[in-house]
Amino acid sequence: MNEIIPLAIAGDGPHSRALAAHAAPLGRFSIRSDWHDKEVRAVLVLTAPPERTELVIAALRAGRVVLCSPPAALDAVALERIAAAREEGGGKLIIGGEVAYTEAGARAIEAILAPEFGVLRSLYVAIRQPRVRSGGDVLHDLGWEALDFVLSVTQTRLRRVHATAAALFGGAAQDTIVILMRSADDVVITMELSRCLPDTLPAAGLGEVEVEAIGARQSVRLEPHATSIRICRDSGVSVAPWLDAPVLRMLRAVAAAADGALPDDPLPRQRDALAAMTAIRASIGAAEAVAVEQYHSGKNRDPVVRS
Amino acid sequence: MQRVKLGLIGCGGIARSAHLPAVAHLVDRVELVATADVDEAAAAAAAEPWRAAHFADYRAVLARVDIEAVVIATPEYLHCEQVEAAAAAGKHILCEKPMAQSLPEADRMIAAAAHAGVHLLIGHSRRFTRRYMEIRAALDRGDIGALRLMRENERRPRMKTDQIWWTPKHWTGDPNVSQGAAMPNAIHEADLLRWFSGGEAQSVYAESAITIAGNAGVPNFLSLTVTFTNGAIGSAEVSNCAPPGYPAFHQMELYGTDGAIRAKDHELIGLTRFTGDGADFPGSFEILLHNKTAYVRELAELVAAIGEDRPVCMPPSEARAALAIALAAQESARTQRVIELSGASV
Repeated sequence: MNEIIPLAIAGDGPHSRALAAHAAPLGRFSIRSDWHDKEVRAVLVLTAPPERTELVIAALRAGRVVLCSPPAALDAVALERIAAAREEGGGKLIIGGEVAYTEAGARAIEAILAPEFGVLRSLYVAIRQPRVRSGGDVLHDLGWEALDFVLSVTQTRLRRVHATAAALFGGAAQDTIVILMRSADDVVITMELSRCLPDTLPAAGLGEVEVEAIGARQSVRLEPHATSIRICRDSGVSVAPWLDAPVLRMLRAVAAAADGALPDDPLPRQRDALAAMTAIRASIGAAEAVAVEQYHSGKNRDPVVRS
Repeated sequence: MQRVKLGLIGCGGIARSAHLPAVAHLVDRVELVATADVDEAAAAAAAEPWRAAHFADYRAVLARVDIEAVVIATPEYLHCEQVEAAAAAGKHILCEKPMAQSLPEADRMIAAAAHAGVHLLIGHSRRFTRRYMEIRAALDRGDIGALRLMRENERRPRMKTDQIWWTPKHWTGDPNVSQGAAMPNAIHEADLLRWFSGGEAQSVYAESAITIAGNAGVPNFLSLTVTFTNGAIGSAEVSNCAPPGYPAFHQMELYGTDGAIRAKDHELIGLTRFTGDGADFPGSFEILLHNKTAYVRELAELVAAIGEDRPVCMPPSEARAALAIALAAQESARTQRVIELSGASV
């Protein structure tokens, strides 16, 4: 226990840099450049799908502790390949949703799931990013994160969904989507994802995340700035994501798994998210709500690939 | 200047908290001479400071020849009958929102006022709230370019004890007369989304829910999405039974091609009190959500229209258009279908 864990990070980007910056000073990890190194026990997979999926499968098959962002895979067949690789190699899989691993997001989940919160009555989740006219499909780019949080909170499958989406801010891809959902236990969920923020409302990283959960006895509200640091200068305001908290939580989860703890199995939620994502996409512009249950089969996939 | 003699029909919560203070504020322009409420004690209490007459039957108010205008502050299921009767009696009318229970009722009210040649102003108080007036002005100036996306959240806590609204103890919770949160609450959202959008509603999708124990089957929660003819999207969520202590607030966000506007009561709450029971926000409901000055402006507008013999600034067709959205939301929530609207305001 508490020995140094050889760790490899696959992928480059803000999260990779933050993870690398925090891993060594924690005193639990030694960073290796190649995850194939036989001594490596944990792999942080920070590439985008479908490369992410193949790396996850290979690392699990090699018996590593693997942490990746949602989604682990974009289709049900690939999810089952991940399950098989984990079974075959004895690896452990952790899905590190940024919202769920942010201090405020994690505390929100804890509060909502606590008995004193009472029955969840309604949930509002919004992620807003700056306008990027060349940006990709907003549902694909932000929907997995939002769904990961929603499903963490509801702890049930979704029953039905309906989405309204459009390209509102000048690009070709849909930059805004409003999704109304109902969970299997009748919680109404409103999810809004948009690249709508002007330059004067800077939001770094994942963007502004706003959450409001109303329960029978308590409520939780996560303000947009709870996940970022605002720096105000005479020349204007800049915002930096507060990456420390999610990164440290993720690293602690990886260390615990490497020490022998068995993380919660994330694949059931990944399957639910995939079915929900497929239903949401089918519901865009539909004349009525779409039942999610029909997409809990083996052939679903999100057809949009990150641009 | 001669004061306009007023009658007040309905002396319940909204009359006490908003209309009577507005009348008192405009004492140089109006005089309350008669009140009516099925609860005659409520009518008497409202009349007393003015030494006005009071009645159990609203028709007694309408029979007074000295009354020029009436404020109708009753539930929406009474509006059509009372507005038609008031118009027939030649009274100018300020009627609480929502305008009516149905579009045919709204049409009858508009026709009755037009036929009688009286003003009919529906009390969409947020049109008279400074914050929203400023937003409309900013949109008119083109401050944020073309409006593309609108977001509203409205939150109110339920009572710590003895919750009345949305239970059978109150008309809002009576399934025989109440249609749910789409009407008394989300009618505001429907109107503001449409007013700000500058277009007409094209389609509506909604989900509703019952979120409190003791509710007899009237949805008290609503989330709706509206698309408009000009391509804008609006969404709103009304939750009026949040746990006690949750702040009452209204959150409005508008995103345009060249900027954004945000107006959040939540950020404007100036006083938070922390006690052993948690945090509360004394005064936020009165000051922020129930903006009394809006009711003053509303009544002043009717009085000015009477004095200047000009149309009121918000024709009843506008209130009818908001009603169409609210009714569509209600139907959508019931059927899980997208409700297509004609895209025309009347």
